[in-house]
Parts: sequence; C-alpha cells; structure tokens
Amino acid sequence: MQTFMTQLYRGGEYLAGAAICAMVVHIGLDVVALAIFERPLRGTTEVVSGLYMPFAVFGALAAVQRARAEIRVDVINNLLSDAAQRRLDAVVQIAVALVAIALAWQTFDLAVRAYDLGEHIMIGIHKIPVWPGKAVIPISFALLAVASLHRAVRP
Amino acid sequence: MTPGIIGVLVVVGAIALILLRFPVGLALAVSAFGGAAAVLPLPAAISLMTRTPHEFAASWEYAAVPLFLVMGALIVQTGMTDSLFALASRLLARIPGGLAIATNFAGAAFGAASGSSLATTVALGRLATPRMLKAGYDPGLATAVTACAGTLAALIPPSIPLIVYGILAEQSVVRLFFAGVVPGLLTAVGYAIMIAIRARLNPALAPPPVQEVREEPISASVAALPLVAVVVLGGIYGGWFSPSQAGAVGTLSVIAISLFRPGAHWRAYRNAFADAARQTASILLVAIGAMMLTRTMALTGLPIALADGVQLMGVSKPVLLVGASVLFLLLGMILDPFGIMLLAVAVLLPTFEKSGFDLVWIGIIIVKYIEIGVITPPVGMNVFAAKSVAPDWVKLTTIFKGVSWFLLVEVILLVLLLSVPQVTMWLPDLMTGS
Repeated sequence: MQTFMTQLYRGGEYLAGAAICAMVVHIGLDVVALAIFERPLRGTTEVVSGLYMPFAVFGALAAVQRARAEIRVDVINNLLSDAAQRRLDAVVQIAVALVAIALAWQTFDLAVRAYDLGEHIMIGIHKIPVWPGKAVIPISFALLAVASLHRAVRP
Repeated sequence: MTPGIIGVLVVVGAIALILLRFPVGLALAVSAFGGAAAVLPLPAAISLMTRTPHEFAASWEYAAVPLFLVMGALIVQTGMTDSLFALASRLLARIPGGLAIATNFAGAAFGAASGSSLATTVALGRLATPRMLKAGYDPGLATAVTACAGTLAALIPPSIPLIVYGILAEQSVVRLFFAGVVPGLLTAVGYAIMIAIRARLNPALAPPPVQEVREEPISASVAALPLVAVVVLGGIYGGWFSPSQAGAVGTLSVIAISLFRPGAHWRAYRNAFADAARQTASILLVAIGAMMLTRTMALTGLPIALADGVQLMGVSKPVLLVGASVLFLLLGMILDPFGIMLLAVAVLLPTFEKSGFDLVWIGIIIVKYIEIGVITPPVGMNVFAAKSVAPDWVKLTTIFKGVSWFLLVEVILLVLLLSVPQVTMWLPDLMTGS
C-alpha cells in the first residue's frame, strides 16, 4: 500500500515534469518556426496555457506535500518539543486534507462541466481537447488530501 | 462588520495560519475564502474562489516560471555548477578570500541562469562549503557566503520572484528584469569587497592567497553558460522572445550544451524535470493563494482605503518608505519571502501607486527586503538551506554570525537604492524607455 501511494505521488510528479518537457519542446518549435518560416505554430499560446500549464502547476502537489517540500514557516514549530512538533504537524495535515477535499469537491463540478461540453480549442481543422487541464485540478487536490492524511498517520 | 475590518481580519488570519505551519498558499486561500464569504453571499464566494486555480494556472505568462526553474535544475543536475565554480575559483585564487569570493560570483552567475534563491544556496553549499572548510576557511564565512550568494538569484534576471510580482502587480516583467540587474550586481560586488577586506584584515578567516594556481581541467561547456544568459536577456530585450519563450530557448540551449559534457545521463534530465515540477507546484500554489487574497482584498476595499488614508494624512514619500521598510523587515523575520511579497502586492500596492512611486522600482525594493528576510533569524530560509548541506558540526548560530557581515553590506546598499532610485531605474529606462 505504502509503495502504491508513493508511486501514485511520483506519477503526478512525472506527469507535471512531462508537461513542462512538452512545453519546452512546443515553445521551442514555435520560436524556430517563427525564425525560419516567419510563421509561428498556430495555437501555441492556447495549448500551453490551457493544457500544459494546469498539469505543470498541479501535477506535483501531492509529491511536494509528501516530501515536506511545501513552502511553510517553522518559526513556532522550532520552539516546540519533538513530540509537540509531531502532534502539531498531524493536526495541520488533517486541516490541509480537509481544505484540499473542499477544493477537490468544488473544482470537480467545473471539470465535469468542461468534460460534458467537450471543451477544446481549434487549431486549423484539428480539435485539441483542453478539458483535461480542468480535470487535473480536482484529481490533484484529492491526491493532496490523501498525501496529507498519509503524512498525518505516517510522518 | 465593515468590509475594511473584514480585510484586516483576513490579513491577520492569513498570518496566524502561516505561523501555525499551514502551507503558505493554502493559508492565504483559506483566509481569502473566509473574507469573501463574509462580504458576498456564500455561493458567490465559493464560485469566485473555485474558479481562481484554473484561471491562474491557465496562463501563458506564468509558463515562464516552470521553464526557468527547469533551466536551473538542468544546470545543477548535469553538473555545470561544478565547472562554473572551478572557473571562478581559478580566476580569483590570487585574491584574499578568493574561494569565498568565487562562491559569491558563482552564485551570481548561477542565479542568472536559475532564478531560484534556495536552489542556488543548496547547489553552492554542496559544492563550495566542503572545499572552503578543507582549505581552512572560517566555518561562519564558508557557510554564510553560500546562504547570501543564493539571494542574488532573486534580483539578477531571470528572477522567479520578479516574474510573479510583475504579473500580479501588472508591471512589465522585461522592465523588472532590467531593473534587477544593477542592484543584483552591486550586491555581488559589495559582498566580494567585504570578504576581501575581512580576509586581509583577519588572516584567521581565510588561508593566504595562492601564488601558483593549479590548472585543473575545466569543461569548455562552462564558457557557453554565460552565452545562455546573453541569449535569454538579449532575446527579451531585442523583442524576439517573451519571457516564456526565453525560458524555453534557455532550457533547450542548456540541454544542447549538456550533451557535450562527459557523463550526460538521461537520469539527470529526468531528475531535473521532476525537481522543476515540485518547485513549480510549491511556488505557484502560494501565488494562487495570493491571487485569491488579492480578489478578496479588492472586495473589502481595504487596499484602496489604506491608500486614501495615507494620502489624506499627507504622509510624505520618505516617511511611507521608511514605514514600509520597517514593516517588511519585521515581516521578513517571521514570514516566508513569497508570502510577504504577495501580501504586499495584495494590500499595499495601491498605496504605493497613489503616492506616486514607480511600481517597478518598488518591486525591486520589495524583493531586496524579502531577500534580506531569508538570511535573517528566526526564519532565514537560505540559512537553513545552507545548514542542511553543511557538516553537522557547523552550528546554525555560526552561520547567522557569518551572515551578519553580509547584512551590513545589505544595509549600505539599501540606503543607496532607497536614496538614489536612478541606480535601479537607469537601465530599464535606457533599454525600454521610461
């Protein structure tokens, strides 16, 4: 179970890494196309912002939480004993999980609506779906909730 | 309860949650939601807050953040920082405290490539601190220089804090990049002069300068690294690239250079992209929280009321600057740098704008303050980062003691930057027009 969860967090992280990689290649090709053919790749801005960026921003949320790499301030924590620090961390992680569940629940509606409408952008005659950019948000917040509860139980 | 009081409670709530060790992004988001729910009907508040994460993330401008982060991660993971440090050490070996000064300038160069203060400190700490300690440098100096050189990344472009500030404050990221150059370089030179003077006056601080420099082989790829900075900045200045395009071109250039390095391995590339993904998530979650807070603040009207109040009281510009400086320095001691900067954007920016300040200049001053915050106790994130990669026997107090000399330089520079804004603004005015 532990290994499965770790793989799941890592999966999100790799997905975000892959989105960044795709962004580098796509924008790089756009710059080259503009320099050589004086014509940029159509739809680069839309695909980068609508598809790659949500994956890049939200994909690694759970991995960050599990790795304790979130941006936080330890000023009060440093004044506490080890046992009190562990207790405070567990309480905060449960609170973070509750917030993440609320965010997952609310953004899920937006994702479902985007999927039902088949949200997409048109590049020439090609239809590029962008609803996955909305679907990744509730999934990432749900995973963040799991990672926070995981951290509360097994620091 | 008036909206203004709700605004104050939102800020106090955010700070309280941050101090309770809530992730900063979620602390800002939760308090922003509380404020919105107090001002608007609940369904409207929920709708406003749930639309923000996607509206924020689906942004072409913010794409520059992951792109510059991956560029920096690639430089670290492919070992180019090692070559950069070796080159700087060789060039500065004949100066007192040469290795510490080399670390400082390697930090400036690495900062120019990566834009991340913490990443620069960790990379330099792993690389330079053991070599300085082995050469007989004072532990306080050997560790403090890595913590402080890391702060140069926040000002020398491409700077991640300046990108985030520029987008949230609706200021030109290009002008901010150029405005960061002179203060960043002045800080690096100021640090170097301070180290050289101290090493000359106190021989116990650093070993005597080396007369015969051993010619260690340095990878040719390091010479290409400054070219990447030139391509990135030149491309932005020439109008060929937007900051996001510059990030992609810079990353592709670093990948191309790294292919000629011995030992380039796919695992280094995989790790670099994974590192960038984690850093992107943690930094932009804070920015999403700040965006929610900005929207709530607009609903409460607190920033505008504050701006009007300052004008009504006839507060002069210098008094406002001194007051803001004290506030930033105090907040810098307890909050993280991004939290302070984004709180400042949400609450104080209209005050600065109405008082006639150039918001590009204010951005540079705010970043300077938050970078002082990361090397001052008790939070001092860069100092903790330097400690995490230093040998166990180097105490945190030793590093903070070493940092105090760098803070002295910072005070002198701050007085200069505050009293002569042209020091900061002549380059962006020259490059992009005032």
